[in-house]
Amino acid sequence: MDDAVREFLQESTENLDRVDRDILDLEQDPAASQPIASLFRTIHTIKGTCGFFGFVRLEKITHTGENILGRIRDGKLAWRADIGNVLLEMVDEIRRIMARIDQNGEEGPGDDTALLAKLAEILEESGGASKPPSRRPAAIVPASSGPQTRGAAQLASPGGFSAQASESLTSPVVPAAAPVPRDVSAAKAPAAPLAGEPAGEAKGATDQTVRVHVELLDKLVNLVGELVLVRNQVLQYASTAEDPNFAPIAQRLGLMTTELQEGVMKTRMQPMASLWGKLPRIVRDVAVQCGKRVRLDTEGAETELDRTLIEAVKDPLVHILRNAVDHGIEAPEARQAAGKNAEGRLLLRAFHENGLVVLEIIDDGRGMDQERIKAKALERGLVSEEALARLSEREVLAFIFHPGFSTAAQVTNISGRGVGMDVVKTNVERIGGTVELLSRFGSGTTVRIKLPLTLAIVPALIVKACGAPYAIPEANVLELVRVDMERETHAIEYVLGSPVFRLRDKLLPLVELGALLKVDGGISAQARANGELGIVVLQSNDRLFGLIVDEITDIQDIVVKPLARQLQEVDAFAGATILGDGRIALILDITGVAKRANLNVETGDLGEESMPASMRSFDEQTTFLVCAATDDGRFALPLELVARLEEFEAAKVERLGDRTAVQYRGHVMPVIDVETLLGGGSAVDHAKKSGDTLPVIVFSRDGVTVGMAVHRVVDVVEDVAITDRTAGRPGVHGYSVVGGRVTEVLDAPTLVRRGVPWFFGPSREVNP
Amino acid sequence: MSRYPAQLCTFFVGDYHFGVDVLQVQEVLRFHEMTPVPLAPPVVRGLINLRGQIVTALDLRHRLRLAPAAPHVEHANVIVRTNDGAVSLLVDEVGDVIDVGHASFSAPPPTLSSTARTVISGVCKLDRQLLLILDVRRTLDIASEASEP
Repeated sequence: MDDAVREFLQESTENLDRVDRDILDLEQDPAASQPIASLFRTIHTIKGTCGFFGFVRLEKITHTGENILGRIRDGKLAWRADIGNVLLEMVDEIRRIMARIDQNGEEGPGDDTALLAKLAEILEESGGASKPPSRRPAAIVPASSGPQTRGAAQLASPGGFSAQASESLTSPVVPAAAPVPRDVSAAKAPAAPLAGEPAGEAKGATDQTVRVHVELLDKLVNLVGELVLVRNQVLQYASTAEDPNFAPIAQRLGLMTTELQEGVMKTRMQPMASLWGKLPRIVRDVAVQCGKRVRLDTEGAETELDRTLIEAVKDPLVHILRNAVDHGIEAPEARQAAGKNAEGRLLLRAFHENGLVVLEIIDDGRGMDQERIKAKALERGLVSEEALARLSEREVLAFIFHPGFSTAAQVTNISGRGVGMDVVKTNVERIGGTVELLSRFGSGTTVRIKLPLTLAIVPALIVKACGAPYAIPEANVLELVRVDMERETHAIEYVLGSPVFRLRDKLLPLVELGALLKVDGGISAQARANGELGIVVLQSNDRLFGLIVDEITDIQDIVVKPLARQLQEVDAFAGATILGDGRIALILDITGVAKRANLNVETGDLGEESMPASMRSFDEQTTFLVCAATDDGRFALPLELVARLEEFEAAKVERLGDRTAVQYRGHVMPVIDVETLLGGGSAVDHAKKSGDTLPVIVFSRDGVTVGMAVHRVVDVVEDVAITDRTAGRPGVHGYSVVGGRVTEVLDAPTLVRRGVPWFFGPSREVNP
Repeated sequence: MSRYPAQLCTFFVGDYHFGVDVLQVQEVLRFHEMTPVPLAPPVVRGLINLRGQIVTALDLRHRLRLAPAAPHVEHANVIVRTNDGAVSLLVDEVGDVIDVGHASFSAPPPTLSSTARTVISGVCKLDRQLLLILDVRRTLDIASEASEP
């Protein structure tokens, strides 16, 4: 195929994506002038260019479309929804024809009369007759040589022709004159239109950019990866080489390689916008098919990501969006009945966090019904009834990721066939990402995808365990601690055999790398011989833990090489790499390591996000109320949850069978006894016996109050972090150290719910 | 395999003489240092650095359910090409590349164990010894290994 044709196709494909967006923008705001101008330009450009190549079908279609757009732009035709539909239909037809040109180099036969008739109908009612283009473009530019056509194609890009030229082109009265001003402006004044066209986007981009095939970029990235390895080897060798001239050369090589690497990696970075351009159209089409009204908003379109990752995340993203529209967002009537805006809202967000790119797809639809998921899980035999009762909300939601799991009552054309979320999860995990699902029945679902910035070269910490090197991606590492075993003999303490470390007043659960990988039991002989060991503080799924290694050696840029199929099952490793000395280091997969060490969230308590806003983000809540139990044990709960602290005379606290209540502000307030719920003594009984006043923590929600009786309020403290979640029991998040005392951090909502089930109940909760 | 290969790269494992299609073999190496992979299935002996390429080494003795070799035996590597990159088969000793006529091939005897039936696609009747033809693809498919009794 001719290069010029290929360029035309490439450029037009990109432009058509913008056409989609412009049409959708017009649907939102028919009065907007920018989208109609941009639409007109794009279609006009395509028309002009396909004239050169003699694509008759395309030309006819775009010509009529252009006339309609021209009349809208000139205010002679008012925008209507059905015009949008026909125009989108037109865009689809243009795409189909272009796909065929891409394959065979020609338009192929096809019947466009139906589409043309629809377009003509709109045009006629606006008073403009639809005349087919009268000129034969091939005849006008008969000997278009390569450079000339390319010049024309460039000129045809949105910013590339003057407003004047496009004016003359819109008028079908002077068709023959049309190509002339275009050629003139191409040859003589390529820069002039820029100043005269303030509304245009991507102005002059053609001057500053070069199109490069992705394959070439990928090859460059791979080569740079290999170069990084060689550089590492040279640097390693330089440190032992005797020739003094060698070291500076090696250093220079190192610097240049780093810069080259950064530059090449940047060439593959693309803003999210390049992926999101296609999404509004998809959402709109699905919404129309399901008879729903959906608005798609995006945030963070400028967030950049390696293009290989953008490619890989595209399908999962489309799938999630389709799901959200088809299953998540309710029909307009149902939404209104539920007190929501008839138009559903989808929010697509992207942002950087801890060296990762986070993508969130948030809908305000019906959310996922825990009960229905449970019923389905039972029906499919995925879990026993007893096990199900013990599962947290997050664990129940995780069933969605099982292959073939669908709660859709109806299988629709779009989704609900039970292939889906498991594929999404697999695809995202394949590129080193994670998928989380947060949902509140009645108020919406959030799918959160976390992705690494790039896959090819990552900075990593090199550690040693039992003599073998391992690489830990730096993105996972929070801090490093070196422990001198001779001076700090008790740096590492044991809780029933599990090692812990006091990190600034927090208890950090420790995992011994050697033992975890089953290459050595406990702290290795080598660490003992060295007299010191390293603790790498890591974060996995919002959970902190320390990894005990023999030695922390280095930070290196490593080239991630995937493990062979035979090793895919080993979840502790994400890949392997070759170090500067030629040795192979396995790259630790921190999520897998945490899972292996039973630190995984899915085995834990209620996740933070499954709680309503006021109880969310546990680790962000820094102020805690510390209380003492009758046996002087300490527990704490986030102050943010507490509405008030009250004291009642013990006699005023009344027993009603197994319930306790107190008259409070003209109402009867149920009182739960936290110690009894946790299986200890009873603060109420203790107060009644001693005659002391009884402190009650009051929770308030939607005007309803519940009291929690405690023995004694000790203090309000800041900066409490749960350091050991593994030691928790139901209703307890975990342990912390507060003022030198081991303190249980309570999961207050769960406890209150146990005493007074309807309070904090799922159906009353609001979406975070 | 309906058509038998014309040239076989041969090697020895235990008392047996094996052959694979020479076209599937990338290269043959004497002993090469290996990095063990903790937690890996026992058939995976480790990773080798083959001129900057990371190659997984599979223990053919283990795969064929033969008795493990004496410790510190230096294996040879038969590096085979696959769609997912190169994989090394650890063997006791490398043999010759031999041309074989079609006539000398037989189907494997039906009395073979199921593991052997999975990985051995044919038997070649050489003058002094039988040469067992290894199906590389099935040999590397260790996922099916667990289900083989």
